[in-house]
Amino acid sequence: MFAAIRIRWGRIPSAALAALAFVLAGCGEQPGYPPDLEYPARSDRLVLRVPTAQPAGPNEAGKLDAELAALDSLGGLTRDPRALPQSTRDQVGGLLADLFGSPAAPEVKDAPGFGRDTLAEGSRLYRRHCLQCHGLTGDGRGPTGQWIDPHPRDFRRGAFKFTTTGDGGKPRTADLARTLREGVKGTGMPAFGLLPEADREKLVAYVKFLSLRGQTEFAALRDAFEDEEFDRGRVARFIGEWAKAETTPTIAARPAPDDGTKQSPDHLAAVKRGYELFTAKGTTDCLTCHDDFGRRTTWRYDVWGTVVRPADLTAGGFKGGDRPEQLFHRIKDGIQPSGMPAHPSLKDDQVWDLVWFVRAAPFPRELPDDVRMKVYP
Amino acid sequence: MPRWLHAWAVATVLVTLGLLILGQFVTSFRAGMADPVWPTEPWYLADNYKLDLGYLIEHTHRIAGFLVGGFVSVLALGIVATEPRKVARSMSIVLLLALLAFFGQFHRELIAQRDPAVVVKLPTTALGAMLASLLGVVGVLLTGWNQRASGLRALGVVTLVAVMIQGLLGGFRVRLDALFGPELAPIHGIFAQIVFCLLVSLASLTARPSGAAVAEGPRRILSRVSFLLVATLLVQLLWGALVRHRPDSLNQRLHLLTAFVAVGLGVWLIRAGLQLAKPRVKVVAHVLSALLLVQVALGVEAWMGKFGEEARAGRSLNAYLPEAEAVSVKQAGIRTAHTLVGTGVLATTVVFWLRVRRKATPQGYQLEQP
Repeated sequence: MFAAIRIRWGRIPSAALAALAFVLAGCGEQPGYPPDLEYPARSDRLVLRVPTAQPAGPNEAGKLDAELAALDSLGGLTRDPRALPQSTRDQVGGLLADLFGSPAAPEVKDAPGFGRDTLAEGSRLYRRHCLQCHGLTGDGRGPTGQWIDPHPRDFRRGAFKFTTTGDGGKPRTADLARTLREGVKGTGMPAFGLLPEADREKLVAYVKFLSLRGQTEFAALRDAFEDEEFDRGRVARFIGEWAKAETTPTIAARPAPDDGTKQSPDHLAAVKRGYELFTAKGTTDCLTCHDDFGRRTTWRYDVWGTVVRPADLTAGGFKGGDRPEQLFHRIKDGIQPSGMPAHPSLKDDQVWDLVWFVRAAPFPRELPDDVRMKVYP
Repeated sequence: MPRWLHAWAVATVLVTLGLLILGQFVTSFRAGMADPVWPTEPWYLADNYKLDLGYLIEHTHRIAGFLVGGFVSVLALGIVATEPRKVARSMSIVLLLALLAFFGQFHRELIAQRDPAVVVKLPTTALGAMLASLLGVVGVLLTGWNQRASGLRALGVVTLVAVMIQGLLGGFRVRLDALFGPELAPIHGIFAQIVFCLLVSLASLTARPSGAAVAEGPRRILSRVSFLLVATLLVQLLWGALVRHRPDSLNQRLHLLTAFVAVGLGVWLIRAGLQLAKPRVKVVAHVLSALLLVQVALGVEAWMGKFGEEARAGRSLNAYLPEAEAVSVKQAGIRTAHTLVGTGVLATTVVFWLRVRRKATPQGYQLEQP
């Protein structure tokens, strides 16, 4: 038995090198999709209305669909697409395949803003970098997504939180690019600043595509529940909303005071004015939601039916970024999908005062003495 | 060789097994990016607690990594301290402590730039100091290469460096996700198996030799076949890691085909080992046969859960994207068990190889220089 074994040891290193070369040759390529892979039909509930009552507590990871199903009993309104007749679902699936193609060949019919090559490359990049959390259709239900909190964004609602367009509508391309580049602090969304800018642009285009496709699916299914036929012209209107976002006027950022000027009388006066606006009743009403400057949690539903809480100002680390211009837009334009209202009636100078107060709030030494006594009694 | 060293080496293997289990859960539940912030301190979770399964798995994996780092540091220092020459011993210990201190500094400098928006600059000064310390230890060890157990001391230092590299691979898998996507994850997973084999080797080599050596004829053949099985299992783990992280049809085929080769070699080795009537080898052969049986069964179940009809729900293989599918707790458990038993098969084969390669000498037994 033993004498029969002869091993040619000299060949082992070359075989190992060949195997390594084979493996390394595959690294770095963007994985494509099987050509006959289709976007799966939506099987999770449509959240048409969220309960007005305050939620009892935060969401639990891994229980998203069960929690959405429970919204009806709490005064919300949801619909399960699986309850529709199969023929209706097939009709919606056919419409979406015709308008938006497949993961291997995504397209938007009659929309020159969505180039096929960009979308195809964006789709491949998406598989590599985003799919595990955001899912194949952008439903936020990727295999990792179910285990992390907050849940990854579901693009299909057509809504985004951190926008600079002011009307609660679609974000600019630059807004999505910034979120992608910088990530979302305190969540599982990483920063993709190391990714080449050209790749990030393709990813943003693909996220917009998934959002458009998902919003169309949402509208078509909702119409089906109301026994109405989906008007394909609405897709053009959705595309128009994205185009409109790009034309909204931008706000010029004011430079943040450096460490030397944070104690200057002018800056401290601005912080104090910001504090007074923040606590004023009947104008901003910030304390209604940011109770005790956000320390006391007041849970609420966002448009996706998931539970969010207003930021704790004393903790800092704002998800939408803490640069002055980012905070300016959060205050002026709101975070409308989460219920944070816009404040169009505030003058820009007032918004800037609020920005300086919000930026200083996590750091007691940056607050004027009398304000500090009230924020940190 | 002091007895405590063997006990410590076995404890290190057990702690590392815990780390591997958590690491496999990270992959099975796809929680590698549950927290994009890296590096974190060992107490980070206490200050940033979140009741969130993926986040908790990822952070307990990181904490276990710190624990293993501590265990391996003590083990490497203990092994280096067996150097019989006094001056060389003191120098080796000081240089190894310096290596650990500079690694700590390297880690701290990375923590200082952990903001995801910051582009990482490698702390080159700390890295240079680490390399200088390492070269110093290697130099001291080389001057006493003819000393007893010098190979074991070299293996101790190699293992410590491998653990450091493994920790950094895990961290950079998170930190450089934007550049490499999940592609550093299989490298981290495969290197974990190599590190585990090194630790098992240390545990085996620090044990006191006992029992009769294998006769020269079978020894040579068994030593070569068991080494070949170790190499085959490493290749198989490579395909396995690729199936887990990048499950295209080519990787699936390679993993299945190599399984046949590994099982064939394993069966031959078990049969030959049992025929030897050497208790120390027979025990390992029995363990290997049990693990191999379990592994084949788990492999079938893992494959069915990932690619089989149950997983695809009637869809054709071409129209199915395994990495887009949600992972059930059952599937995660089976995949984790399959990977861990695979690690067990590899570790057992390494022990088998180390035991049969001992040469008989007039004084008893002596290790070949690794």
